[in-house]
Order: sequence, then C-alpha cells, then structure tokens
Amino acid sequence: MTPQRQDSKRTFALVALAVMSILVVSVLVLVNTQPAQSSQVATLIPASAGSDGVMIKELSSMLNSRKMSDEDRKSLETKLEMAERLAAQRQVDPSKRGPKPAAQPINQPAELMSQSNEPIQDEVLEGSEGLIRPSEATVLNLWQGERNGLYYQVFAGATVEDQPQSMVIMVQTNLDQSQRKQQTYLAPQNIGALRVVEVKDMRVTLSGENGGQVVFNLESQSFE
Amino acid sequence: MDISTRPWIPFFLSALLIAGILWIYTGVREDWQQQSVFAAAQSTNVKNYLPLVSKQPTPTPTPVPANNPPLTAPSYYMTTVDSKTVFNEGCALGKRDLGLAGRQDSVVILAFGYPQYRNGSYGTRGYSYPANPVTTSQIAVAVENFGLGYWTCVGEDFDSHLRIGVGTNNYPGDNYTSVSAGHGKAWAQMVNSINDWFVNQCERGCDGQVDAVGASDIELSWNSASATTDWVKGYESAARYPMYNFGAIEGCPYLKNPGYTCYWGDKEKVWYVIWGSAPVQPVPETYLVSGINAEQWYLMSVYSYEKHGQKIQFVGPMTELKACEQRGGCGSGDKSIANPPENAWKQLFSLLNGDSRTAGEALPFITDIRYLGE
Repeated sequence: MTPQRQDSKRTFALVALAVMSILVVSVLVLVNTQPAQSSQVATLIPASAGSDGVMIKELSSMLNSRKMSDEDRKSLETKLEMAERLAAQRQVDPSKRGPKPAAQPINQPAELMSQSNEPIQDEVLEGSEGLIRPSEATVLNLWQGERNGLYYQVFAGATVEDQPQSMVIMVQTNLDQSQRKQQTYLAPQNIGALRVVEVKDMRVTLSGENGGQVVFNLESQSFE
Repeated sequence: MDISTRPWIPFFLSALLIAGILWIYTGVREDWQQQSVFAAAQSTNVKNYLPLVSKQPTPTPTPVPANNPPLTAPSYYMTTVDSKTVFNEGCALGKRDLGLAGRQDSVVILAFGYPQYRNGSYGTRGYSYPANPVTTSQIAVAVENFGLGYWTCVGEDFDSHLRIGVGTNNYPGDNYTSVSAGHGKAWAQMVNSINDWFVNQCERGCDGQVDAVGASDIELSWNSASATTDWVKGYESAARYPMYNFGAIEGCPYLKNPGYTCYWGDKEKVWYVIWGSAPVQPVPETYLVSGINAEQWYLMSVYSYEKHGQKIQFVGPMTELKACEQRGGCGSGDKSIANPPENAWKQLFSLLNGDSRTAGEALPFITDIRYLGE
C-alpha cells in the first residue's frame, strides 16, 4: 500500500467519523426536544379510551412543566390516575360481547321515597332555592303555596340586563304536576330588585329596593 | 472503490445525511406546531426512522375531528327520579347513538338540585315544586337506570360510550341545607358505588359503555368560597372519580375588564374549585351569546398557567339553550343566554387554542341542559 493510498483511507475514515458524529448529535437533539404529546404514555393509549385518552395525553404532557409546586403536581397526578381509571373501565374483551338483554328499570327503594312527602304550606324563602340560575335573573326571595287547586311560586327580583328591571317570575303547576307554566313579568315601574313582603289570597305585595311597592295578582297574572 | 480518485464522495454523503436529518427534523417540528393547536384530539404517534424514513401511522379514530364541534348531548334538571321515565330517557340517547354512524362519546349531566341532609340521609332537593327531595340511594338508582337504558338501547353499537355526571350544586337553600364536607364525601362515595354497580352488577359490566363521575353546578354568587370549598374537599377525601364543575364564574375577568377578581374577590379561591382540587375538571357554563363566559374561562386558564404552571384542561362546554326555551327566560341582546351549543364550543375553542399558554384543547364534549319531562 502506498503512502498516498494510506492518506486517502485516513481522510475517508475521518470524514466518516465526522458524519457519524453529526448523525449521533442530531438524533440526540431530536430525541431530547421530543414534545410530551408523543411521550411513551401517549403511544400506549388504545383508541377505545376515547376522550379519556385525550385527557391522559394532556395531563401527562402538563406534568412535564417545571413551574409547578409539589402540591400542584400531586393534584395533577391524581387527576391522571382518575382519567386512567376511567379509561381502564372502558376496556372490555370484545370476544365477550353478545346480545343485550331486554333490561327492565330498577325500582326505587320505596321506604326512602315516603320520607319526601311533606305537607304543602305557604312560605317565603330567601333566594331562589337554586331553581333560577344567576344567569336567568337576580332573585332576592320567593313565595310558594297552593291556591284554588294549583301550586304557585313567585320569584321576586330583577332582570340581569345592564339596566336591571323589577320583575317577578311566576310558576304555576297543577296538582299532579302534569302541566306547568312559567313566565317573567316586568313591573310597571322600575323600583329596583323586588322582594316579596306579604301574600294575601291571590295578591302578592312586593317592595322595591329603591323604595315603593307593587302588587302582583296571581289570578289575573299581572301587576295591578 | 478508490476514494482518493473520487474525493467528492465523502462530502456528498455527508451533505446527503445532513439534509436527511434536517428534513426529518423540520417535518417533526411542523407536526408539533399543529399538535400544539389541535393536539389532544389526535394521535401524536409520529415515528421517525433514520436515515431517511418518516412513518405516519394510520390515524386512530378520535371522538372529535379537530376544529369541528362534537355532537351535542342533552343534560337534565331532574324533575323526577321515576325509574321508567329516567330509563326511557337513557334509552332515547342510546337509540340516537345506535342510529348514527361511528362511535359517539357523550357526557350527560343529571342535576338533582342543592345538597340536603334530612332524616339521617344525604341527598338533594330536586327541581320540582312541591320539592322532590331524594336521597343519595335514590339518586344512585336513577343514574343506574339512565345508564342501563342507554346500554340496552344502544344495542349492537358496542363502541359508543356514555359518561353520566351525577350533579348537585352549591346553593345553600333554606331547608335541610348541607353544602358541607360531609355531603361532598357522601357524594363521592355514591359516585364510587354507582361505578361499582356499572362494573359488577350490570350484565357484562355494561360492556364498558357507561360510567359515572361526580358533578356540581358551582355558582360563585350562590354560596361562599369557604362552604363551597369544604364541599369540594369532602368530595376529594373519598373520590375515586373526577368531579365535573358545570357552573359559572360570575364576576371573573373578561377581555374588556381584565382587572375583575371574580365574585369571591379572589381568583385563587375560584381556581381551586374549577381545577386546583384533584378531582375537579370544568364543564364550563358558556351560555352567553356575547362570548363573555368563554372569555372568563379562557382567562382563568391563563391564570392557571401563569400562577400554577399548568393550563386548565376542559371537558367541554355546557349551554342552557333548551332549558331557557322550555321556560321562556332566554333574555335578549348582550345578556341573552340562548347561546347555541356549537357556538359556545367555537367561542371556547378559538380562544383557548389561539393562545400558546392555553392551547391543546380538543373540547371533546358539548352538552345542553334541559328540564326532564317538559
């Protein structure tokens, strides 16, 4: 072998070494900057996990954050455990599938139902009993009772407009609860949010937060 | 081959390899960028094989095509727990899914009213007048009936799935009120037992097609932060399953008023009950046509990212279009609460995924609440 030939081989070996080094470094860069979405966890989620798979992937990814306190990390890990529990609950052996039975509804425990029968009485309650969401109206209080074989509820307050209007929401239900009517009535004068102060027969007297009173008549379903 | 006679060969091979590496790297980067926006809905299972092979796997079916709202599922204010009525409602949803092509994935919240403790039992008030208070045992049976109705009627469609959020709220109430740690714990235990029933009592575990999570309509203006937090901590103490908060965050900042501090006067307290507590995940009430609700939820996710190093991962929006149509209280103008479900989804999706701090939201569900039987 001539010295020239030996030099050429050495050059080739050096170049090959350089290329391999670049290759290794590039692969390392690629692996190290791999985002969390394509982590091992994500690739193991079966398609049948559906939306739980989505949650698992995102929570796994979020756990990579370095800005998180130990307490927050622990909370997130618990969320992940719960998502994994739900995903696991979905996994069933497809070979065990078969015709579904004509299932019947399960009966309610009768002894518990009897506890809920309470006599109806006239009452004024603060707020809306959670029956009117804050998005629907601002309710200060409500009156409820029975009149002439019908159940009534009058929710008193104001609308949620930029300029709130005095209003009541009246709900009328028949005794077997098969028919129900609900309507919002604006007071003739805007005297601020209303509050029920007294109910006599079919007349509901309400005071406004800005002063003054109005009367709502259940029979005519209008303000007097 | 004598390389000394062809000195360009090492340089050519080197250039080829470097170009290959760059090509793969660039491709992967593009994938990442896309995934940061629409990520969660899609499999990110991209594999690269050196030197020059990039394999895109066959896409797995996912519940949500990116950028398109999923199918809306109904939720219910439970005016009754009558077994047949509830079973039939679940059955109707099962029939719907059976009639649709492909796999459907739905979240349905059954809302039973505010927490009560009476006669030694935890339960809720219900949504009727006269009140129809129900115990946690009765609620469990109602949820099982809804799930059983769904599983039976979804028939030979074994791929579709129903998740039932078992809902109460944080309203203090006047009668037998119990927004307390004890009630929260009892609620979590009830949700655990409902899942045990679906797995062990329902035939073949209902083929894994039905499960349950807790849920609460937490409205900031309904109760104090301390009482609400007590309930949430009670739930957390016994929880094996998540708790979906389907409430509103009144008074929280929105784009025109970024300085607001929420009805409770402290965003941190709100953060705890919408995401910070381990079981909690939000099903954000997004009822305002104006988009303000969506802006509030987006900004709370930004807060979460900035303060806690994690965005909020949303389940999907809740609207109340059907409920307000049923009872005639949709409002008008900027205050209209008649936001169509798909519109709510788009409002949230574009805000969350348009910001790198909160991106990665598939929002795989939408649900629109209504009154049962009306």
